[in-house]
Amino acid sequence: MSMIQPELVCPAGTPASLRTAVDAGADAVYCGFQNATNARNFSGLNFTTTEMRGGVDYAHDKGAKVLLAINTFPPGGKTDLWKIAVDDGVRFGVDALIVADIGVAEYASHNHPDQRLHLSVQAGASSAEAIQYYCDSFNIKRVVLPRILTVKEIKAIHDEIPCEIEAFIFGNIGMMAEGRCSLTNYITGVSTNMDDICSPASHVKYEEDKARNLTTKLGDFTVDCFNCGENAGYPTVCKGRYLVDHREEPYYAFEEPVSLNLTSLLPDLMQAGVTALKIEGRQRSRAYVRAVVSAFRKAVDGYMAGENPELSGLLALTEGHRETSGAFGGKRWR
Amino acid sequence: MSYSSKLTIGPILFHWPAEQKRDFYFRIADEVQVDTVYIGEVICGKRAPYFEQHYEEVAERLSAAGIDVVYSTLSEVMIRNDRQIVAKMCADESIEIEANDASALQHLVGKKHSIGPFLNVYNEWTMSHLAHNGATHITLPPELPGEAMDTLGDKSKELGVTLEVQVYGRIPLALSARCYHARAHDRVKDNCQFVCEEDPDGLNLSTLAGEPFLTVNGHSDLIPYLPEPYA
Amino acid sequence: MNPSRKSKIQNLPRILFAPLPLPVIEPILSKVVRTISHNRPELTNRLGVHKYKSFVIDPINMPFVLLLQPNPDDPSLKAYRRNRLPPFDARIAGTLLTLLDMVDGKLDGDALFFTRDLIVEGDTEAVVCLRNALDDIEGSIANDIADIFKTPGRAALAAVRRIKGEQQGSYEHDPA
Repeated sequence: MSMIQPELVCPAGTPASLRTAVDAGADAVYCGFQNATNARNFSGLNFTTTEMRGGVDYAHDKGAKVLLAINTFPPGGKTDLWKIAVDDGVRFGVDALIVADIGVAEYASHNHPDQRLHLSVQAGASSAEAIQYYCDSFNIKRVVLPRILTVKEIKAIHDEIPCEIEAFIFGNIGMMAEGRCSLTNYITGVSTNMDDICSPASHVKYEEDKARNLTTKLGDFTVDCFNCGENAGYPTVCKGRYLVDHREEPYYAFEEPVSLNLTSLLPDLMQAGVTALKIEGRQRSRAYVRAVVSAFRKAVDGYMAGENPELSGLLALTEGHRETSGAFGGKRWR
Repeated sequence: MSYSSKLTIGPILFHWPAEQKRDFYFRIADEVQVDTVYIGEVICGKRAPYFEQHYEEVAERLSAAGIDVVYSTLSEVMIRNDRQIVAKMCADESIEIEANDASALQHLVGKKHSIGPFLNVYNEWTMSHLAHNGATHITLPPELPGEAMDTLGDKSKELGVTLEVQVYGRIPLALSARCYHARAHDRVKDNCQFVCEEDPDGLNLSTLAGEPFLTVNGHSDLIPYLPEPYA
Repeated sequence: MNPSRKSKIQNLPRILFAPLPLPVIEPILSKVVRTISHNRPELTNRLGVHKYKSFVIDPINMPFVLLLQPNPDDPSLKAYRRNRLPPFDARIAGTLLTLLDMVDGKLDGDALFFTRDLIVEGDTEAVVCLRNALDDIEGSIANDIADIFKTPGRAALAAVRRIKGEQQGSYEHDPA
């Protein structure tokens, strides 16, 4: 089967990261504004309107696309901020808006019918029917699939839907249904869907004792405890260790500190009809962006040239220094 | 202004033996004064077939008691089995459906239906869109702030949509494709052997510091305590 | 390299620089922070409310720690002995080169945290924000600092980088 040259979609948390990603070979970068319209609303990250305009110019000059993430859920009465974000994005000439909320999709498709829309992973569209609904209603051109499907299932979806597929290939592995997780809200009072942040740093506490045992806390709850020398993970509920009556030892109830790495599955994904390969990590540094984007640029180009590129060295950037192919590798992940 | 609020009972989130579930609904029909009862499996497609044979008798008994019956669809739809369950339910013209994900919406375009709490309705834009698609009743997400609820309340009157909020009981906090009940027993979803049936109220997790934390229920997590009933 | 040897090499500067009287380096630090604050206004914009906080930068293999107050109206960077630290909001600790390479965009803060090479204490949000704000600055801040002191500064930085040896590196091999 012939493969279509896929688009390498790369994270840009700051203007400097955007330039780094473009220079390292990104076909497209995704980024967001410095406000609640963007699902990675971390302190010190993201773009002012001036920076966004500059970022679009920089990327376009070098032949790369900019995908603007407006992928949160505006609470009732507060839709103006999302309206401005959509209008600004269109005005700055971004190549696509990544939307999650039905209302935001409706606003964008109604007011800017020529603007290309992508469906965010935050919409959690995991079946052909769900994707078809968004395509029919809002003329969605590409769906970002949740990280819960096997390659075989992705192929089956591809055959049934009228839009392109974007799939995650590297980075943080989300196992809760995106856009429908209130765990952070329960613990911190900050909503992932509306305030646009998962495990906000303002509620994270690290306590390291003299023997270098590290306890991570989110709000009032202890999420994990690492011995000296043990690799650590993100301080999120879903990567924590807990106790349950029938087990003697604490265990990772949801997922271990581990990162997704689909290097070895790239040809399969490309053959399954995935036309955009997404690297997670808008909260990561330029060093991460440079290393991961360059590595995947080389890998994708290699596979397209019929070679079998060697890819190593990304393990250093993974959570807990461990990697997995997650759901993509087979049904045993579930 | 006076409101006449209705009282509803949401779907059973846990995996109980089918007969126990049936008897529970029979008791509701016989002993409880509520306006609407939601039946249907919302958490796991693998559990769904067990209760299917009882839908009709349960619905009849509840209807006979003057209670409206609404069938809730699965909240996470992914594999063929899930898709077939949702398609079959939505194809039945004789029943009222509560859609809990976008795949159900696709089957219900232009038909009168309800929207469940697992489908994100946060704002007036989304509400208008869904109303035009055929939604006449919407249960708002538990995390929606009061202010936003006010705005949506006004909008719902304009659209002729009725609203519902959860006021008592455990709140579902997260859904997943992965089964955490199976994981807790070192199994995976495909060979879970329905271990979730061992925990009729879910499996309680506590933190390393011993604080009660979350309850695991198949593919979902819930807040582990019951909030005080509304005054 | 075996761990004890690695730790001995890492801690060499702590021993070598121990006799250094801190008042000697005060004016140097002051000049560094004022120059960066002046040349890189975008840094303070990104810091938002956290620009008024105080950060302890703790190069664990040096005999002193630094207290950074980025407040653009009166930016300050002062050296303290570890046992005489004033109150602070947040602390970031790692070897001098880990910290320098992170500031210079050569190493990833999250990855350093995962491997426990970076220690974060206190106001986590302030640390994350400072890290993110610094990461948006292209070019080398370490080189900027070295440049302030012309040839001796650049020579000193080169010397520090040589100590690095096999301890760590960026995620790619330098073509040069």
